[in-house]
Amino acid sequence: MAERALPSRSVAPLALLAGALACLALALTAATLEAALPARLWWAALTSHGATVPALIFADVALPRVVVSWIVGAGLALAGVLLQQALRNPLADTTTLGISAGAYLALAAASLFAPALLAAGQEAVALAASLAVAAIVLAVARRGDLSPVALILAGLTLSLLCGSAAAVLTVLNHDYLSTLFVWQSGSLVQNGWGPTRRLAVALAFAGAAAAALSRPLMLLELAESQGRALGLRVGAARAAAVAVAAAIGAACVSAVGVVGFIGIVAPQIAQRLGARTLRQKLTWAPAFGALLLWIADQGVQHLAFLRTEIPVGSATALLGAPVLLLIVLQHKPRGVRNVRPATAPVRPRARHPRRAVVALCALFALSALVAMGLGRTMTGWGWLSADTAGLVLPWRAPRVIAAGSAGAMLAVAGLLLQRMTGNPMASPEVLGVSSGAALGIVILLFIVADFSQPLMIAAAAGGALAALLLIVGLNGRAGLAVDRLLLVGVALATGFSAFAAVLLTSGDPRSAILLAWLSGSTYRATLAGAVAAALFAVVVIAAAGATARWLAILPLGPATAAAIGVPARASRLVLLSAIAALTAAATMVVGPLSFIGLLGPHLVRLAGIERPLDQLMAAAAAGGALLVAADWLGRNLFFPWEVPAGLCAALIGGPVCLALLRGRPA
Amino acid sequence: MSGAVRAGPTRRHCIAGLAGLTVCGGRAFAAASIAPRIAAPDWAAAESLLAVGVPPLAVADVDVYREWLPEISLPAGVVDLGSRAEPNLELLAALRPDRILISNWQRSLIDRFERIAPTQVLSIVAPPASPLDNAGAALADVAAPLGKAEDAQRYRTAFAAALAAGAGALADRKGMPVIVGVLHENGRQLYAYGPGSWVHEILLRLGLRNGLAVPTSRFGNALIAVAQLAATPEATLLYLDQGSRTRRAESALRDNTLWRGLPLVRAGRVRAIPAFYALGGLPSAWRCARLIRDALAEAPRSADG
Repeated sequence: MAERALPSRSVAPLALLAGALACLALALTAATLEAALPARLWWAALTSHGATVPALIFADVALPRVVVSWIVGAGLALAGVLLQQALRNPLADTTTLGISAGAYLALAAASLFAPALLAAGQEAVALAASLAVAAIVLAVARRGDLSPVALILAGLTLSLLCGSAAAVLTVLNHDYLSTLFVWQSGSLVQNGWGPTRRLAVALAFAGAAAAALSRPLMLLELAESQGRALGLRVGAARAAAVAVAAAIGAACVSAVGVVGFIGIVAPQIAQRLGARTLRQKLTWAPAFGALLLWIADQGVQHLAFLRTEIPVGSATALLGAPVLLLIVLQHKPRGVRNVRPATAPVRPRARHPRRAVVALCALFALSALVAMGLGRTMTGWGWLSADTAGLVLPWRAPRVIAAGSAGAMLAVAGLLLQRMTGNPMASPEVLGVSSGAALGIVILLFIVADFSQPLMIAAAAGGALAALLLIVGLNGRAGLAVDRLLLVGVALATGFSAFAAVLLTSGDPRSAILLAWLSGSTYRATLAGAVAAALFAVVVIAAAGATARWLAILPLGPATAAAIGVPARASRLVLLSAIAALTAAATMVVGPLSFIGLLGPHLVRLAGIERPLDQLMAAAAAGGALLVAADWLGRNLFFPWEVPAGLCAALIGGPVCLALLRGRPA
Repeated sequence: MSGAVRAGPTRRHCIAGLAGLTVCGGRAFAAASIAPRIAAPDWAAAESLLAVGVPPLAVADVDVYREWLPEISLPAGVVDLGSRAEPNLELLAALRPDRILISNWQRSLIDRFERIAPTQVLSIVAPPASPLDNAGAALADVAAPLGKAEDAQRYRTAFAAALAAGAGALADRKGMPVIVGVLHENGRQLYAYGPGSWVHEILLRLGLRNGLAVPTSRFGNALIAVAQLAATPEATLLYLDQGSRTRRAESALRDNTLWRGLPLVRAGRVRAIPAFYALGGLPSAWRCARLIRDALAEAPRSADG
């Protein structure tokens, strides 16, 4: 029925590209296998098992690695299609739902605290965690009738939460750091056929389930009310699709680690090249997923000139990011459905919004005072005395000021971005600016052995600026279309994390420093830097106040905005510049804390504050207070060990966000 | 005070060290009363100080230090500074140290440390210079301002003699390829030490050969697949025992057809050795040398030998 509604298109371009990719993959594979064992001995190696070591490597290492790349690639793409169809958002992936982060967290925690559990079955641990994460996501979103927005918010929050908890484990156990990171970044290296067989069985079940789900999921494409009228239980179909995707994600993470991006790129390629119906996507996306991962994994084996093998999880991201950028440039994305704030979680308007704003500002001031004065020392908890203030404050004050201003800037940046795009998933990291800044630092680490503070700041500023120029440049012709903006941001962010993962797995002891900074540590804040950041925050946030009218009108949609007389392009450029400036400044001070930018605006909205100007002030106060509190907890909880403020903010804010989402009436 | 420090592993190892490959960080703490207040946020500096008998005021990550450097034991009163990547600055400032010693990989923090006390950087793993020479030089650099130059020189001489004695004890294994590394718990990969690390140099000084045949990172290690161990079939593999994670790696490898097919596994040339700190100073290098010698003295020779 849905197939009739859409014009049927030729799948020739799909087959053509698939063929070309397969030829490339075959050529690379032939070279890899030839390196393992001369081709004339292949047949003998397969028939007489394990006679020589090269034969063993050919049959038990090289071949299963190829098959695993097919299975994992196809599986992740299948999971991507299912999630995108169920959540109606092309950015949905096993990572968006928190499945990968949940499985990774469970594996990391079990590895540190309960190795016996892992000995009993690593797959079981990951599967239990993934299903638990999916169940929590579904439970939290149930009040919202499993609406796409509620699901995405819950998934994203849990993903941040699990990712942060796993990062805390690595920060506090950093002699194990490299070990944990090898898992996180995904490697397809195999030593036998066991995992391959288990994955094949899992994927077979998942494929059958997806086929069974295809009809109800197809109906989901229609408006939900129509689907319901056709007798479809929307929530049940969605929940089933999410569960199948969660199982696939768990199987993949436990077998090979986190391999991202395939689940977003493969369905995108299939769709661009003409796979319109769900059945076509379910067929072609896994095919492209398998091909992409196959090529990526064979490709990394040919990069011998690099000193260590790039984890394929990073390679897929590096390969996928430009592909996604190309696609975004060539076509106007059709699948992106902008979510209007009207469908986003909105609390009843507060009776006295101004009072709520004042209360938040007072909370900010109070948190800053406590964070400055109260803390742990060698002798226990204590307030600063005249005696100790001189020694301790020079270290403590810059961190409190930096945390406060960075939190305020990120929350305001997030608010502007969410207002501008009407997408509640939007946060400064989605825009890619904080990724750009962080990328600058990582590249610096690759080039220079010893790096200093001024060099780091210069690198971060350069990266942020490059990201901003790239975003504006890529979007310029299209008039800064919102959906395109988000896709470009995702591509940048993924490319960045791939680079970072390469460094983090390289056994470089400086990776601990990098990790702490990436996790939002205020450890490196200086008084001059913190005061500059605070002044900058005040100026830019005040300037953003001048755009209050735009902020009120833009969410109504471009047509309405234009009719009222808001210049679409100019307003977006101004807002974009403000967001980029706020994000870059905050990133330079405390690292890429995308999380506050996501949570701050939500807290404000959930508090019932609606007018743009009130929201700006409230977001700044909430973000600042949140990060100051997080920084204080991080400095004192495990004294003398420190947990980065960004991780603490995620660990405090994540559950709060989930609770608020859960308590919200549909 | 010195009694407690000398007890336990130090004495036992002194007796056990037949070929002189022994760490006797002994003469120790006679001068504790006038000891300068030196903070050592990395272990390389802490163990170098202890080697010339000066206890550090504060050290980062004390728990793992005690696990990985048991011979060079820390005095009971040493202050824990927390993470080695982000040593607690408020705590460090409150201690009012006279001097701070850091490692070159912490150099980006030097501005902070300089505000608390004069800070000296020890460069041990800094290619292309020899990390073993660097470790010796670092020991001398640490000792000289403390009036302990002679102790440092004596320690270096003793270490060189111990290495030579170790090479003598392993004379019948001359040129034997050895791979030293950490097994990944997934049972598929391992971090192995190669050129750029002092582990590599110690292998050579003991008259052995490093069996690792791949390029290494700036810090002298490489992540390799288990299959790559087949490239040097005559090698002996020594893997660091890091507790439960190593147990998991072992159990993953037990059912692994490739692992069991590797020549070095079939010949039984695989053993676990206690963990050491591969970015450490001369005392850590000494410990590593002793562990390698002890492991190989008992191990079967290469298939060809």
